[in-house]
Amino acid sequence: MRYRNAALILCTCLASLAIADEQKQRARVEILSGVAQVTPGQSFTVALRFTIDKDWHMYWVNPGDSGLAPSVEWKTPPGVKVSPKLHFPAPHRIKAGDNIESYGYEDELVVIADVTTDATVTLPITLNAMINWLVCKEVCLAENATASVTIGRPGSTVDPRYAAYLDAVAKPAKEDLIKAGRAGVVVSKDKSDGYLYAYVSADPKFDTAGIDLFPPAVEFATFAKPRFDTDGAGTKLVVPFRVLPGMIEPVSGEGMLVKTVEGKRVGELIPLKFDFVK
Amino acid sequence: MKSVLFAALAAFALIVGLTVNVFAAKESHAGHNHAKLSIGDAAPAFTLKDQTGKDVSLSDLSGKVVVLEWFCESCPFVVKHYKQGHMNKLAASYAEKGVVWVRINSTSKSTPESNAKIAAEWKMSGPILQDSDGEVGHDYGATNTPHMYVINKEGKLVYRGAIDSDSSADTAKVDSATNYVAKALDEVLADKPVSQPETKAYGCTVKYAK
Repeated sequence: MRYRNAALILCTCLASLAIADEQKQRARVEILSGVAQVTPGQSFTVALRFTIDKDWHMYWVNPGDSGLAPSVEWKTPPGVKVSPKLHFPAPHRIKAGDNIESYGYEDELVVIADVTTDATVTLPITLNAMINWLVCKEVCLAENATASVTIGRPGSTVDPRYAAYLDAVAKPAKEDLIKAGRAGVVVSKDKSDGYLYAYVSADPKFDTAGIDLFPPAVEFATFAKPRFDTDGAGTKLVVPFRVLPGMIEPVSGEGMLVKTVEGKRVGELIPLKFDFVK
Repeated sequence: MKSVLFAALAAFALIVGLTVNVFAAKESHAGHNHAKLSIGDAAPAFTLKDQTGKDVSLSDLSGKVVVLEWFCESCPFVVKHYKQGHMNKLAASYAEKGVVWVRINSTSKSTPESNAKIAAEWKMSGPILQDSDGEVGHDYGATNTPHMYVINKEGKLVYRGAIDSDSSADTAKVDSATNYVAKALDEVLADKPVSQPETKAYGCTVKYAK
């Protein structure tokens, strides 16, 4: 009886070891600093670099029809603040099933966070982060990790890839273009549907290869795939959407217009507000 | 919905220039088979096996308010609502008011036996119906787990979409979120129209048979 129990315990242990191995993380994360040295009062950026297992993917802020973007809780020393907003690169369309599409990233995702310091900060600065993310293939796994980075140690260097990471994240569209009326939202008279649009060129024969428009993460609309259209004003991207009747108050979000310039995908963020007029 | 005149303010973009002519945008939307089923339509009939192997039909529940919850135990967004018993508590509190809570599992690889195991482990009461060929899921246009539907006593669909307003996988945020299903049920039980009859479901993708 005693031996049988021992055997049982051994079996249970082996089984749980097997489970633990199966549950190994499908994505790993590290934090990189954008600066080697820092002076009190200086602002800088840090990057969260996720390495994703082959065939698995992670998500943009608007994950599309399923999924969830990664999130971070920072622990910072006195005098240091990290902006909660993360800057993401241009996502890809990932087929997640029949008629189901996610917006996300495969292989690698690098997001950038803004850090500000004040005059009281003591050097070097260590930032600790608790990072949560969802990684999916056929199934989805909620994974998390803690990571940290120390900035301002003697002899520190910046990762040589950092400039490319910073370059790859989407930037806000310029203010003067916001007023230009080159993009917007049009809703049908019965308020049940509409479309987002963005002109990409004044040339109606513009080459549209590598151009995409990702809709914002709004809870009360479903978006179709974008299509290109031309009119007297040029070439535009149009994303039809359906307004869900659950929408009872204004919603805001950021869409992303993506262009491919010299082989690199460049994102511009579009602040969108769906508002009600009484 | 109030008299909603939509002014859509949008900003941004690439080039300086002109305005646009308006056109009607009516087309199918990727990821949502909603064109098939509208709010106010009769809920599609089904007969599926529960975790004990017994057939359960929607018609057996006629005259009752029914909640359909698309379920998959390995989805972190589903786990979020069960880990600390939120979904079971919600189902139990409405069961007291005569609401029938039915989970439907359209995961092709699940079975009544696997559903029985998880029902015991998670202390779930009520049926988990197995929809291996995904026919019922497709009839309802279920894309996510959890994807929620409320059917009134007349058998009409009165709500579909998310369980609540927090699309994260974080259990700590369940209590502070607006629960759209509870809101819809409260309105249905009070014979009021559902004020937010449709929201965008969030979560995992339903793992349908290929």
